[in-house]
Amino acid sequence: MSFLEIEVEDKRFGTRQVLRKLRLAVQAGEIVSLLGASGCGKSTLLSIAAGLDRACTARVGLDGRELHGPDAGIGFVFQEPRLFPWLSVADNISFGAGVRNAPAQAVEALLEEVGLPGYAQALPKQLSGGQAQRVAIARGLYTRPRVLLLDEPFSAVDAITRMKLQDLLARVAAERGLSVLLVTHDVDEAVQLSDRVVLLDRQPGPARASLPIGLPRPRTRGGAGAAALKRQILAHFDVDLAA
Amino acid sequence: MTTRVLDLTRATKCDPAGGRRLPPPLLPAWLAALLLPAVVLAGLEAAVRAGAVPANLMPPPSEVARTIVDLAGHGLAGHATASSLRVLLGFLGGAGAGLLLGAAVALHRGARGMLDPSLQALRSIPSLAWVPLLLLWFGIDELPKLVLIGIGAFFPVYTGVTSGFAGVDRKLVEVGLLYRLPPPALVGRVLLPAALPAILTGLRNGLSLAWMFMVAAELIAASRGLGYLLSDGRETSRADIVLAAIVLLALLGKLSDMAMLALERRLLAWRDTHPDTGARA
Repeated sequence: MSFLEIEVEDKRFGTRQVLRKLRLAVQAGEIVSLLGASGCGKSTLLSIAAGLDRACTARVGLDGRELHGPDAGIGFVFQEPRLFPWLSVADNISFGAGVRNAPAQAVEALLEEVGLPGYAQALPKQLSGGQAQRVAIARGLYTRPRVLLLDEPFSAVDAITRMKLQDLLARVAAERGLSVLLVTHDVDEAVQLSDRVVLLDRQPGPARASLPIGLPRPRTRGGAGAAALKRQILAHFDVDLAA
Repeated sequence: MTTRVLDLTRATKCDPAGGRRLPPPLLPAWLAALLLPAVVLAGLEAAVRAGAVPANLMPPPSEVARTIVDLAGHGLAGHATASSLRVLLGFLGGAGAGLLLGAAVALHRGARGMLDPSLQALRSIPSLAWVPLLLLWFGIDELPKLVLIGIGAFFPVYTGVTSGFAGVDRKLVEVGLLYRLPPPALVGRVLLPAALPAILTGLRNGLSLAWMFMVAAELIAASRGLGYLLSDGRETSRADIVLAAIVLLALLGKLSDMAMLALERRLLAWRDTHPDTGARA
């Protein structure tokens, strides 16, 4: 039995069907990336998995339990940092734990982990986009979820920061044995981070393919194996890199 | 081909504070704010003294100042206190009701469906139209004045609260839902802070209207207060008293607005606004 299971029978926005008969499973400690064209329902699938979108015919299971809404076992990092501007970095990070003035040591340790030591008392307006996204990742990790959902979390940051954040995610996921479901547009990112890549069609329906990424960890960027996998993924979308 | 070597020592230095720095103001802010009134008052003084403006209709500023000093020895503080107390009590009642009903309408679908259409209909009635009815119901004592001031303060606050809550970013609410905040915590930790800028704007507008409605109420029927002074000055053809009352109303209104602005700045220090835009107190 899989650790996280999502089955969406039918999801519509108005009359437009965006997801149909889609089944997705993530094993314990596995990193799965979802790739597909804009509008194919990737983010919607993540919202359903997080229990934020319940206007659909779907079933979400976590470690054998059926979920009926947001669950403490599932963390979410959104595409935008979504920090509360009136809270300090520390209070934003501990927001999900329901406490203000959370143990300073726990927050500082997490800030250290995401590369922002000493920022606990800063306000979100004092952060750059990349720093704010690091805080959002720290918030996603603070409640120690067993599954982390990420919706294009690095799309708005510069290339260098993106690579650092990718490395951070891979390291933290490995250290904590996190299951990760990552929505991304970036094929390189999917290859770099994932154990498996699931490809979605523009038309609602079952996943087009599920490709294991058998590269050893820690991974180096731009190796021959990664390039071959990238070609293989793009071929599914009728993109030929040699063209 | 020739190559040019750039002289980096002559390059423009970057501003370490970031962004393009605006040129420093010619005058300190307080002096700039006083400049226009000072020029107008000086011009007026000169025009009246030169006979260009009839002194009985527009007394010179120096005479208005003397009148204020004279009145200070004859119960001016009592008039100012009576008016300020009316504003305070009427504002507390009206703004309190605006906060409560606004929150109920914003947060409860049932209350919204039941209350909002009626309140919007009442809002379209010019508030002074209530005066005859208030006089009929409550006589000419304090209560009709307070109710009228309350009506004046109510609608800006009500609108501020409802529009503030309605404008909360759905994405922030989703974060609260993700962490399974119960409804009271969602209101206290997400909705209320997010709506606070609009609520404070509503309170500030409500306070401003409370002063306006206080004058209207005191003009209709009062034996104390700055509105009474206005009425008394008109009846005795003392333009200097009318102007003295206007000056004091302006001062008190400005002081209360500055207090609200200070509160707003303190509560909204987290906002990421540009320091060189927007009006200041």
